[in-house]
Amino acid sequence: MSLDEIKIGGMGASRRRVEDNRFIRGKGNYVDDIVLPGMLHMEILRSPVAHARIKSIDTSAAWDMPGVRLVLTGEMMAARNLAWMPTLSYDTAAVLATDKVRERPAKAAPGNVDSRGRCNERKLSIYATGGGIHPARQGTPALFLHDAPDGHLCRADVSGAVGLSEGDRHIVDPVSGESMSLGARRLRRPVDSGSVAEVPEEAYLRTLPARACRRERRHLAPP
Amino acid sequence: MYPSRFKYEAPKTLEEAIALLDAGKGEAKVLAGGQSLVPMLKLRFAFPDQIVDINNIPDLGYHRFDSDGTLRIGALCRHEDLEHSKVIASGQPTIAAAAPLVADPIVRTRGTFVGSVCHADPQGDWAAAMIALGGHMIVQGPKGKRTIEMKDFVLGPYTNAMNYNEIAIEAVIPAPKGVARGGYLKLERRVGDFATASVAVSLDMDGGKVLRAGIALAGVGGKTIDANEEASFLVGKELSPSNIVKVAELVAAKAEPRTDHRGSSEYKRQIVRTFVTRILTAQSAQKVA
Amino acid sequence: MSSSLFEEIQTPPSGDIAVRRVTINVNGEPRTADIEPRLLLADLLRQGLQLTGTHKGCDTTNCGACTVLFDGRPIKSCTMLAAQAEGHDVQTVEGLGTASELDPIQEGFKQEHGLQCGFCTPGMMMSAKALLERNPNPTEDEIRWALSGNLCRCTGYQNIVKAVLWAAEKMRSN
Repeated sequence: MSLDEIKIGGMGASRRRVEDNRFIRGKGNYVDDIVLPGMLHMEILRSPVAHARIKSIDTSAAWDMPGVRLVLTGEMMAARNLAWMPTLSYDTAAVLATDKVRERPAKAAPGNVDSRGRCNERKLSIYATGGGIHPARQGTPALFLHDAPDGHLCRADVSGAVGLSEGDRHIVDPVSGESMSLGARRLRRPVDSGSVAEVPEEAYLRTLPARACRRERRHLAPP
Repeated sequence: MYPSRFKYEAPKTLEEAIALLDAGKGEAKVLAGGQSLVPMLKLRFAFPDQIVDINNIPDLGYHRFDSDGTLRIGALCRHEDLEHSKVIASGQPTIAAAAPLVADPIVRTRGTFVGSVCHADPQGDWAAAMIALGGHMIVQGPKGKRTIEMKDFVLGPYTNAMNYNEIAIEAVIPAPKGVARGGYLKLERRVGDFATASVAVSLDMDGGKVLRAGIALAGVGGKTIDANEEASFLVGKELSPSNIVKVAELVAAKAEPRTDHRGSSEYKRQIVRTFVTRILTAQSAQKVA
Repeated sequence: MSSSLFEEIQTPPSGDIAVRRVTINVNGEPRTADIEPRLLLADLLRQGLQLTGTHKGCDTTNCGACTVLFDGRPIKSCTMLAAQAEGHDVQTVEGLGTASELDPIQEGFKQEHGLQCGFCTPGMMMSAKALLERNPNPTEDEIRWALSGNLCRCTGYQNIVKAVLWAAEKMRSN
């Protein structure tokens, strides 16, 4: 390391931080701080169930709300061949749910609105109806693997993958061997417009912890 | 995340607040610290028609020992008031030990003791402390005040025995028979996490002898575990190592831990056993006043 | 100065939206807004008052990036309704220091490299300010304890603690 390199601030030299002056004054410009002219806000509606077949998505109430510019569904994206996309994990994932809601963040539809304040109202007025529910227990890394010959399949395309029947009350964790009972929950989400998204008794609203992501791969559609 | 719409009132008197709750017919919720309620509103797990903010009602933020030794904690007494309180530090060791462990320092500036007990979270520290201390709640409704013993107060997760038109105005911890001793230990993976396991121990001692003992557990079951009966094994006895081992075993057996990402049920039970032992051993090691 | 966040609604989705007028003393100035009661304080500060130094990191009352001082005490502004702040004093990071001089806490974070991405920093500084007001000579343990409601993903906290120690010393010597 020659003296010149340090003098000119080259390799090995310390760099003075220039961003701190803004950050310590609260003048950082983080993504959520950005305001652009004509900017829209997007809210993503997530499925109230972890795994289900979508029968229909009714977005009419969302379109009717003032300020909404666009309500986007998987069907609209599929029409443009954009519903499935490759990911960084060398697989293919659904951008928005089309036929089935899967345990990966299964988005139903985003609603684009012109003001942050009204975004969340859109979210709750779109509801998906579906059938074939797999209850998921929070914190359980191993799911959906249980001998239930009449059970709903998680993966119709993969042999050996089985699922649970509607009446199943126990699953066996393949990791610990422990038998765990499943709960049933009724979820009520009242919305200002009076519509209610209600899920069947057997549905159980939980999202998977990050640790389960390796097992999530099973449930991604083939490319 | 964003709450659903609600009406909001900030009454200046208790009577006004009760009248609002009464008129709300069960669709109105009391807002005190808000550190449990507001997150639930944002997640829309709670969607009351009306919020009754009691923070503007004067003379509710107190905590004090009466001359007879009864400890009274007002509805707006914040967790940090108890954490920094000299009288609590010298007079009520179970509460003194638990206060710094509730949530985190910022939540403690707003969250209230009484609100936390009313919220009846199965992981809640204060409900466990109240059960171990044998306390009771004073609630006030349109017809006046009534007392609810702690063991009857929590009916289930997030459900208490109050009517919709009642406000809990005071938590009462009866004066100890002898000297108040005890402690609280909580194992959490990080500050603000749910407890992997926590143990509240309250003792009334006369010299080396136990006059009354109460133990309660949080985080090791679907609700706060009342282990007062197991703790009563110590009554009339000294805190000898063998007695401590015995009661730790009894209490650990009462726990109903579930295996989850915080640990196996055996691990949590061992934590309970260890904490009971540790707290009781510390009491016996103390010089008696 | 007033701001109304919901003025642009011409036809409310259902019935009338109840709006209340609140006046909050923000960084020493009274600020008035017509708001829905459900508006969170963090949103009033960030969107209504354009004071975006207060950040929303988790929205679950965990991270403390939204920490502001409420009557001098640190609170998580994402967990308070703006309506609750009516008549109270709120201090945000924009209220630290003056146009010509940094608050010693801000200086400390700068001197001791107490920030990397800077997202948690306003919350850290507000908590630190509340700490140093009550305890002008904290130990490292006391600092770590007092800041345990603020999470940082970048620094590993070492330099944050050093920054607060630096600030404490500067304030004691002033």
